[in-house]
Parts: sequence; structure tokens; C-alpha cells
Amino acid sequence: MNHPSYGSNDPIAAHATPLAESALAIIRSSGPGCIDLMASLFSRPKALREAPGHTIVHGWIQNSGGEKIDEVLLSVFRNPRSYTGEDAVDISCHGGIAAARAVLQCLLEGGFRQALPGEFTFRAFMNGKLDLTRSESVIELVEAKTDESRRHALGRLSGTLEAEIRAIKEDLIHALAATELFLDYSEDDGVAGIAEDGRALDSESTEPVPLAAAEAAGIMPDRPRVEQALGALEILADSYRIEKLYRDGALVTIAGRPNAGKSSLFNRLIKEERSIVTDIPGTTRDYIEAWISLEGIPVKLVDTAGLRHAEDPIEQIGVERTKGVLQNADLILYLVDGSLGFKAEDHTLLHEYTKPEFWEGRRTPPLLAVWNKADVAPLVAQGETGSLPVRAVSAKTGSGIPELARAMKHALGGTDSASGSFQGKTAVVGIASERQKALVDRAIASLKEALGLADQRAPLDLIAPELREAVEALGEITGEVSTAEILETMFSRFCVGK
Amino acid sequence: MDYDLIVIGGGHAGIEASLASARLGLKTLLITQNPDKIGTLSCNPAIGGLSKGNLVREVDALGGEMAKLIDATLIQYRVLNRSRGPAVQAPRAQADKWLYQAAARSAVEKQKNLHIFMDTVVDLIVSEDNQRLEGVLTERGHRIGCRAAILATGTFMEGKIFIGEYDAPMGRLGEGAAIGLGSSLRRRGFPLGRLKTGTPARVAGESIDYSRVERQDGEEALPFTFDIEADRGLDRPSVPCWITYSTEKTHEIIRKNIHRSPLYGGKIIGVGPRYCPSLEDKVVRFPDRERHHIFIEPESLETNEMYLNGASSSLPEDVQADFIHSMPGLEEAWIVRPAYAVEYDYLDPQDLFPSLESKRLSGLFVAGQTNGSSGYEEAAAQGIMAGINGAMKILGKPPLILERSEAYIGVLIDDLTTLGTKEPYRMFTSRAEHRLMLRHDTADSRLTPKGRVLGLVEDRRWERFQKKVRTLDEITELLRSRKVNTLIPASQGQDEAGLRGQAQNINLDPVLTPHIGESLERALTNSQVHLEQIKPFVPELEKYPREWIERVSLDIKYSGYIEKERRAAARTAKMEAMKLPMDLDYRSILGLSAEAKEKLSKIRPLTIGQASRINGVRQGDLAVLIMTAKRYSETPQTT
Repeated sequence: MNHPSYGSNDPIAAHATPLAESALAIIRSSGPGCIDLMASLFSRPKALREAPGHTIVHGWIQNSGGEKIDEVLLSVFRNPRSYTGEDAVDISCHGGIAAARAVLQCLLEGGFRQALPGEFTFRAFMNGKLDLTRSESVIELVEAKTDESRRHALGRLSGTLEAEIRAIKEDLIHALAATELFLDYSEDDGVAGIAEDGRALDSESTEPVPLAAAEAAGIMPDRPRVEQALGALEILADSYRIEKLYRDGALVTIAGRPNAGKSSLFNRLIKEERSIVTDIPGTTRDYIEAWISLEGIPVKLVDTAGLRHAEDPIEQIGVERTKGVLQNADLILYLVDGSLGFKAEDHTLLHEYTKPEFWEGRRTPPLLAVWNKADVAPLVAQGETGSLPVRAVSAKTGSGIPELARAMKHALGGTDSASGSFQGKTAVVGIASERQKALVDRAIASLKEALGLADQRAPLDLIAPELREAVEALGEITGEVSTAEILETMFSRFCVGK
Repeated sequence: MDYDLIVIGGGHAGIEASLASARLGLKTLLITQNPDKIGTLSCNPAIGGLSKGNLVREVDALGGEMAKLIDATLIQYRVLNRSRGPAVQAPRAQADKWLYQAAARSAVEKQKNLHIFMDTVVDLIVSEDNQRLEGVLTERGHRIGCRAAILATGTFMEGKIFIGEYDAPMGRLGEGAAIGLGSSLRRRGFPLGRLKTGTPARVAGESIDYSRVERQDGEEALPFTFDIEADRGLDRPSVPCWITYSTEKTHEIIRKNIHRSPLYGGKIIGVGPRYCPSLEDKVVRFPDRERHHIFIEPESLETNEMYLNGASSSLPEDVQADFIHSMPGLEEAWIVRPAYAVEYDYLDPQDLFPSLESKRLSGLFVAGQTNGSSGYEEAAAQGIMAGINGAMKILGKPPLILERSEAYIGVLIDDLTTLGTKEPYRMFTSRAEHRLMLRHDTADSRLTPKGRVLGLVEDRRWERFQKKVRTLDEITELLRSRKVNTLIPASQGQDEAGLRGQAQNINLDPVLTPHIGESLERALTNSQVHLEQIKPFVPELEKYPREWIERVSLDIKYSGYIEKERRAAARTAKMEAMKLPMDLDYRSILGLSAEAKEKLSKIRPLTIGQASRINGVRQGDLAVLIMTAKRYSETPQTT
């Protein structure tokens, strides 16, 4: 079944600027209820909901768990005074591929649908914002974009990924056909005849279960296939995280008391002099950043200002900003000046950074404690930091740096194999786009629902739609599945009918 | 103009079509090759079953006849799939074939405005410009004028039956095919094809050894029709069916003789139904199966013929005799009628509008097997719709087109006219994407108001329906206001002497414990809570008809899921509301893919929703169509 999405008024969202390194990126959204939906993903929902049209609201995009994604400016448009003629919000977020992707991903998970090619213009036309005489150019635009995206989508879908998803879908179609079989044929209608085989639907099953008994026990037909498919999909979904790590990179923040040598470590890591290094505590008032390649993982390394609770108003701002940067980090390197050892302030800060409250609902990122100046002050007994492992390095001489790099990569979830590739056992192929991820997530949710219903002994007529939803979600990635195909599978697999 | 509307064929489609037309006040003629055969159950002696039972009740809710016919003539009743969820449960009844046929004929004969005429239609009479149907030409040379006609020829149009090496031009064994019409239609350019179906042998009841077969009894019969006082029994006899099975020997006989099958020998070109395979098909396609069930069903109380359900075949009669005799209980069975295959002409239903009117010839409607469907219920469903829409056309009113979310009838007709079919089309619950909304027990709520607007629902039935609607509301309100608690309601079982004023604990089912203090409505949404468990809290329920209480209980139980389907249906409803002009020249529309142009030109969908269901029409194409539809609706047309 073709889901007619053009012409629906679902809230939609899409990148409006190219995905490239830039200062700013814009993500556009539109649709009735769009402002309310956006408010549910925004740090200041009330301000957004009450904002009049043609105004700008500042805040953070955050996911439903309250995890902050990016600091943004929202341009609010109220129907009919918008490009599409609907309520609309343009998001100006930080530039760079990672930030823009993360924001869009958050919107898609929060209830927005990825806009179809040319859909904003399509809506503008449908809502009378474009002259009828321009309809042909709109058609051309939509068609051209559809073609482009079709080519793009095909290019995106690697052969292996496609094969993987097809295989999972095939399994689910089998399970769905087996379920539908029970719904389309009655107890005494020939399906019971299959029970005669002593087999539980699945002809490959080695442990025969009489069907009638299986059904009486509330066993979902082909349940092992469904569980297997769910497992495979979860691995795929996880692969997205890894692939995203290698593609979009990670944010690593260097923190620590002033003068611990953060800038030295930063420089050692980027192997170039970009940060001012002085002996006066607190001179790095702002944070600076640079990209490095950590065995294939693009890492944005950020050097923070001194974290002293200083009186200096300028530094105070720096401290606040540091907190903001820390809160977005995928990994924190906490640096200790080996010549001074762990101070009370270090313990306080370390304690603070590992407290869930500090992260305001966001998952607490991994933290690595780094003992600097190991060349002049060898690492003393680790007892001081409790369970936290401490790595000794010398930013000055470079000793311990390769080991640290490996530890960082591990902490970020990178794999051990050759740099850049991730042919590890967790995922052979990776999901490559937010859209694919959203669809795989939809399939996972439906399968979980189906299995949950089966556990509660819910009737099959409630389970079947969930299985179908999962099949349809995967069908949107690899090509649609029609009822005819499901019936085809049913008839070819089972001997049915009186 | 001799008649307003002519119905060609007196089968299950023809009956509903002619009755609907006549009941809508049109002068109607039913032409049949043999009035004695009106309403014949050519194949299995049963009405209803999964999704088919829903169709029967939908036809009834619209004011059709099938439900009343089976209620009056059933000899066994069962509700199927009780364990698999209410959305896929459905009633099925064994019919007394001879009584059924007599009842059908009588219903047609008694109908005002309706004449029966024995003849065979061999050609259509069309206007000079070939655009409009003006009448029919019969074998005996009658030219009968009409404003609309409904083609419902079943398996008779160029029908041909096969039994092994034997074949003959028949539509049913012993009844001549309708020769001529198929060729005429082909000559006129209609897209005709061949389909095949089959029926098993009938054996003499007294030749069966019942001690060697398993017995299957029915249950208390409930009416299919809604047009009856609630909870009134049917007072019909209930006779058993019997079950035996094929054996290794059966399969061996079939395998050895498979080359003598006209199907495997290539004599039959028509495509048969995969869901209802012949016994030889089952043996060939599933060689690992040791046995196949065969159901032995009575054809009538008046005869002793028994129908061997599951053993349809086109093998020669000597082979049939051999394999039947290889089954337990049938060793001595006497074959009264052999099994046979029948091949017949059908019209590609994609050539029809969703009203079932031909896109090619205005005024011609097609229903039943002629559209590539199979089954009595599918035929009746199309019959009543064709009858209604033929009448609407004559009366100058818009056609009745049911949505997929409204009725299985809507799914059936949309599937046929939008997707077409390559094998005899049978209704399946899995074809309906909103089947939780299409329960058989809600057919009256879904369709009776529509039947009333059309004029097919008489006053008495309408009053009864409205009373039911009010009562359902009362029951819902009761369940909503009453709470689960540990006290027995005042009217029940109080021990006045000992426990006055005290909280008297009833034996609360543990499954209800988490629901204490909640409304019964809320408790019912828990899948573990059953109606019987909450009944003690509402003794008033006793005064309501059982069926209605169950109906409300199911509505509540599935409300969350039904709501989800309703939302999905509402999304598609928007697409259904966007009309496409009938005369749209798809080839000239910029931006459509080549495949879409071809498919759309052929099917000419009436709405964006219908277009979206055509294979090969993609999202981009839909965007173009939506914009085109908008442009059409806003630009003044020059014609």
C-alpha cells in the first residue's frame, strides 16, 4: 500500500541548508500543530507557544528525555503568513554536519516526518501561496527532486544494508503470513490440518509443536522469527550510532583546574600551536576547538577555560560557557597537574561531573582522568581517585599520548579493528541516514509491541497490525510490500483451503 | 424502453441486484437461463465464514436478502475463530441447498416491480455512438430495452467443464453454458479473460461408514440478519458435519494419474484460486504432507447427497472413485456427482468504476464472478452494490461507493476495480487494513443509515435500529458509571439478618483487584478482564439482549486500537475526498512517470486515494496528481 504523504498535513521537517561545515545551518519545519510539537522539543516551550508570528525565540532543542541537543534560534511563522501558509518554525542551529543532523534527528524522533522532496513548495502551492500559473514549475521541482532523492536514496542504501534489511523483512513477512493465516482461515478450515504435521508452522523448526496446542498456549506463530528480526534490527539501529560516530564525529572536552596543562595537552593532541600557553592561572578565558582524527573517528577537541570559581567577571563568563561545552561532550578528559597531585577541588569537580544532575537528564558521558607532567612527577598510587582509572601522560614530551588516544577511542565506542572501518561483530553494515534510522526504530517499536501483546496472550488480530506496521516501515526503506505478497507467502508456505 | 433495469443471471449477485433495483422502485427484469436454478449453491453448502460472514451481514445492513435466506434455511451454525480475536470472528452456517434455493426464488418472485424471464442474453444493444447501453438481445431473438443492465453471469459465460479427458460447454454440471455473450463482448472490445474454479464430488450419505469418521457439531444459531427482534432464536435444526482425511494411498493414486488431469495436461488455460486448491494441487505442491482433511457436509435435509469439502478435483471419474475409496469411511462411498473443474469468461474489473459501472459502456454494470471474484458472499455484495448503483444512475443520483474503512464490501470492490485480479478473488480479513473497525456485529451501525438514505431500509427496521443505538448507549453509560468494588450491589444476595450495614465481600476475581475503584469500562480494557467477570456489578444488564451487551463490551475492549485505526482511516479519507476528473488525459500531464501514466490511463481512478493504491504510482506522481486535481477544481472548465 502506497502511503499518500503529499497532501497530508503531518508536521514535516528537513534540512534547508546543505550539510557542510558552516557557521550556521537552517532546518525548516511546517504543518498544523508544528509550533506545539516543536515546543515539546524546546527548552522554553511556553515562550515558543506564545511567540507571535515573525518573531525569534532563543533556547535549546532538546529531546523528549530533556537531553539538550543544540542551542538555537527559532523563527516563528504563524499560518497563513509563512512560506507554506501553515504554522512553521525555522531553526537556526550551529553549523556543521553533526549539529544539524542531531537537531533533525531529534525532530524526527519527536513526531515530525521527514519532508518529501519539494514538499514545502508543494504545500505552499496547495495553500494558495503560489500562483496557479506556477504549478507547472512546482511540478517540475517536485519531480526533479523526487528523482534526485531516489537516486540519492539508492546510492545511500548500500548493497549489504539493503540485503540485510530485505532478509529481516523477509523473515517478518513469513511471520506475518503465518499470523494472517490464522486470521484468514478458521480453526477447522484446513489450518488445523497443518497441526497434523506436528509442526509449528515453521517448516525448518526442529522441535515440532502441534499447532493447535501452540495456539491454545497463546504462542505467536513464528515467534522465533520475530525475535530474531527484532534482534537484527536492534543491532542495525546500534550501528547507526557507530556509523554516526565515524561520520559525524564526537566532541571531546578537556577539563581540569586552571594551569593543569589543558592547553598543552590540547596542543599535543592536535600537534600544533594554537592555544596560548602561559604560567598565569586562568588566562584561557574562552574555549578553543580543533578537529583531529582519532584513528578514523573525527573528534572535535575542545579546550576549556579554567574552572576556578573566580571573581573576575570575564572569567566568570568563561566558566559558564565551559559548563555549556561540557554538557555537550561525548567524552571528558579531566586533567590533573601531576606536580601538584589531586587537590580537594579536583575531587569536588570530578564528583560534580559524574553526578546525573549536572547533565540535566542527558546520559552522563564517559570521563577519563589524565595525570599530566608524568615526566617530572610520576603517577602516584591510584587510591586517590577511587575507582576512576587514571592515565599518565606528559603533554610536554608526548609520553603516554598514544595510549590515551586509544583509551579515548574506546570510551567513544569506536572499534578495535583497522582505523576507520568498523567491520566489527556488532554490525556488519550501518544505517546511513536519519530517515532509515527513524524507519528502523518504528519497526523495532512495533515488534516490541507485538511481542508484548503476545506475552499478554492478546488475540492475534491485535498482534497482526503491529507486525504489518513493522513490515511496512522496512518496506519504506527497500520497497513496498503489498497484501498480495503476504497472501502469496501464505499460499506458498502453507497448504490451505478446503 | 421496456424496463428500467435488466439483471442478467439469477445467482447470488443477480438476486441482490434485482431485489435492490426493484425495491428502489425501478421496473426490473431478471433474465435467467432457468428460473428453477435461481439461488443455486453451486459449490459448498455453506454461507458465511471468515470475512465472508461479515459481507453477508453488511449486505443485510444495507437491506439485502442473503442473511434472511440463510437464517431461514440453515442446518448448522458456528462462530469461527473465537480464540483469535473478535475482529476476525465470523459466523458460518451450513445451508440446506434445496430450501435455500426455494427461499431465494420465492423472495425474487414475491418482489414488487420485478419480473423473471427465462432466456439467454447473447448480445448487448448499444447506442449508435457505442457509448451507451440501450438493451439486450436474447437467444430467442427478443430485443429488450433498458436504461441500465447488470451482468452477473457467474461461471456460465462461455463456461466449460472438465472431468479428466471429458469436457463440455456447461456452466454447472448438466446445465448448458451461456454461449454467445462472451464473443459479443470480445468483439465490442471488452477486456475478457478466463478463470477456473472447481467443485468436489457428492456422495450418497448412506454409503458412508460414519463409525470411521469424526463428528463435528454446530452450536446454537444466532441470526445473520439484523432485521429481527434481538435475542430471538432461529429455531432451526442442527445436523453434524463429518471429518475424514486423505491417506498415503490417496496421494499415490493421484500422483500416478496426475497426467490425466486437464489442468496438468494443459487443457485448462484459466487461472484457478490458490487459496482453494484441488486435492491434486495439494498433493503436488505439498508432497511432504501425509494427509489432508476432508470435510463431509450435508447438502440438504431433503436429499442424502454429501459434499466432500477439500476434495475438489478435475481428474477422471475412475481416478476420483479410486481416491475417494482410499479414505477412511468412504471405502464404499457411492459417487452421485463427480468433481469437476469449470472454466469461464470474466471481465477485467479494472475496466469498471468503483460504482461497478463499465468505463467503456455507460449503463452497463458488472457483478459477481463475472468480475473475477469467487464465493456466494462476494457475489451478493457486488450484486447489491451494482443494483443500488444501477438504480442511482437511472434516478440521476450519485453512486454509493463504500470506503475501505467502512465495509468489507468497500475493500472488495476497491481491490477489484483498482488492482484487478489474476485468480478468482476471495475476500480475506488480511485484505482489510482497518479490520478492527469492520467486525460483523457492527455492520448495522456502519451501513444501515446508508441503506436508509437510499430507501432500502423500511420504517420498521429503521425504528428497530434506532432503538438498538439508544440501548447500546444506555449499556455503555452503565459500564462507564459503575465501579469495580468489593460490595455486592443492593439487589443481590444480601444476608439481611447478619450483615446489614456491613461491607459484604464478594468473591472478587483476582484479575479485578487492580481495578477496584475504577469504572467497569476502564476495567474491561484490560485484556485479562472478561465480560462475565464484571456482570455481577451490573445486574441491570440482564434485561438487555446478550448480543448487544457483547457488542458494547467489544467496542470498549478494543477502543484504543479502534481509535488508532480510525485515525489512520481519517488520514486516508482526506485522499479519498480529493476527486480526479474522469476524463483526465494522463499522458499529457507533465511530471508523471511513464509507468504511472500507463497505469493511470488504464484505471482512471476517481480519487487521489484510489490512485495511491495503484502499483507503480509513486509519491512524486501523487504530488503531481494532487496539484493537477487542485488545478482542475479551481480553473473553470471550457467544456
